[in-house]
Amino acid sequence: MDKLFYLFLAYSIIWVLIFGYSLRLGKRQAKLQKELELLKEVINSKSS
Amino acid sequence: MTENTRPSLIEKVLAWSTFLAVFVALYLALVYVPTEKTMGDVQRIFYFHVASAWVGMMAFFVVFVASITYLLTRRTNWDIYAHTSAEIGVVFTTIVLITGPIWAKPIWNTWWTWDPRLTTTLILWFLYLAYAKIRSAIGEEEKKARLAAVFGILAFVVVPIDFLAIRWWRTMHPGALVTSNGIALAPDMMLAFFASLFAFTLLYCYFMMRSVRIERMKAEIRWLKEGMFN
Amino acid sequence: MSFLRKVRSLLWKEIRSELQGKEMLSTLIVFSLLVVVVFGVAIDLNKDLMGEVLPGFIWITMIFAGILCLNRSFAAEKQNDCLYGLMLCPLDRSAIYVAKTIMNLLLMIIVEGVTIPLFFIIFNYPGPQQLGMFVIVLLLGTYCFMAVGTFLAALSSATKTGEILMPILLIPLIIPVLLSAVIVTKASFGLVGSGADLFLKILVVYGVVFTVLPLLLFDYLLEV
Repeated sequence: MDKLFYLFLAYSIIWVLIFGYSLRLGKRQAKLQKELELLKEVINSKSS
Repeated sequence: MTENTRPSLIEKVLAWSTFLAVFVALYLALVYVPTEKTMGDVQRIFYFHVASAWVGMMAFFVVFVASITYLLTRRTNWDIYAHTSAEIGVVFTTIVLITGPIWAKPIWNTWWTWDPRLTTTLILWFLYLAYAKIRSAIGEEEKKARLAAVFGILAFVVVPIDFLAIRWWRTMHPGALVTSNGIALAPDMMLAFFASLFAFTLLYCYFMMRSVRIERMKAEIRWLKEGMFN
Repeated sequence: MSFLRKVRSLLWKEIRSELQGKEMLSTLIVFSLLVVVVFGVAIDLNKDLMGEVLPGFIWITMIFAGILCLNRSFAAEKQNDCLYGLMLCPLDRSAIYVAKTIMNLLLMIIVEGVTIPLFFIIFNYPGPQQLGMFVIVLLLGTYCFMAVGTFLAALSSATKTGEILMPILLIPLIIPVLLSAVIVTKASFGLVGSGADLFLKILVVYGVVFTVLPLLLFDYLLEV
């Protein structure tokens, strides 16, 4: 296999892992954000 | 305790500077730096490989310090720092373990070399996993934090002993060294090297910031839910 | 002085409960013998190569037996919540750790005494040239192993997954012990040129560090 292929492989894996983790964090945050807003709505509607 | 959940100025600055730093480092490592004489272009893996290893170790050191501080103060913030740093550390350590063999194969024609630093990183990876397994095996938050912190301390202390033992072992059986030992680092290479180090350190800080924010959101949700049932 | 007395009484309790059934010791010995046979059947080498791998076999067998032994050490307390009973006694809790470590060490020494000669017999390999070094590394390595292992057994007994978790925690932590012990054992066979005493030093350092740290941290494990 051409040496440059290894270079490409390494950098793509780095990219995949970092980007993937970033995406995962983003999804977690979005899900929690939704849940948080839902809860706040419920609490607000209860108290009013 | 209704925190403002929109990103603060610091977070935005961090995010953008991380983004910028990564691109600068990429340019330096892939374009700016001259091709290395003996190894060719494959050597460019080295910059982010070592940067990841550095972040992996640093993340583990943070786990160590946060674990001690948690045991001494019992403030949950420190437990949050510990386990978020651990999770990020796994990501970077995985990068090291994958890029190491990819670098080694074209150059020394072997996937795994018992290179001391790489082998120590392998054990570090397993220690991270063990830390995660402890946390997943316990339900109560306080116990989880306490036991994980204890293990975090033991695990970090073993790493230098590990490294020394493995290094002495390999001097008895020299093999391929997946390190910078064979590379003469010219000044522009140093620049690329430090740039990738800096970029990945910023990346670590950015991930930490986001993870900690996620944990705070979880805590607030838990708090709100408890409030609702009272 | 009273700390030592507490350790001694706890240790005596351990020994007595084992003497009552002798279940654990006999099971451990049988298991180790079986592992020796497994190695003998699965791996067929001529005598020259045998020396290279025999130290590894010995220590791998000891790790397996050690894991069984360690799992036992807190398993009894987990039933009927005896651990809480122990904690209620006015004791310095690290005495529990010391007593159990010594107990595990004693068990493993007996197991080794029976099993290791068998290794040499089954593989038809001459005894170690430097018997003193061999015995020392066995004791030191087993001690390091038990010091860390007893602590981790206590930790994992407090979790849901319990005994299955323990090896996952243990094995990464004892890699330096395994490495150093195998090399020094090889040296006692006369197969290593020089540099083996470095690894003895590593074992000593490890032993000290992983006695002090568990002693300091054991209280944190047992909080209610």
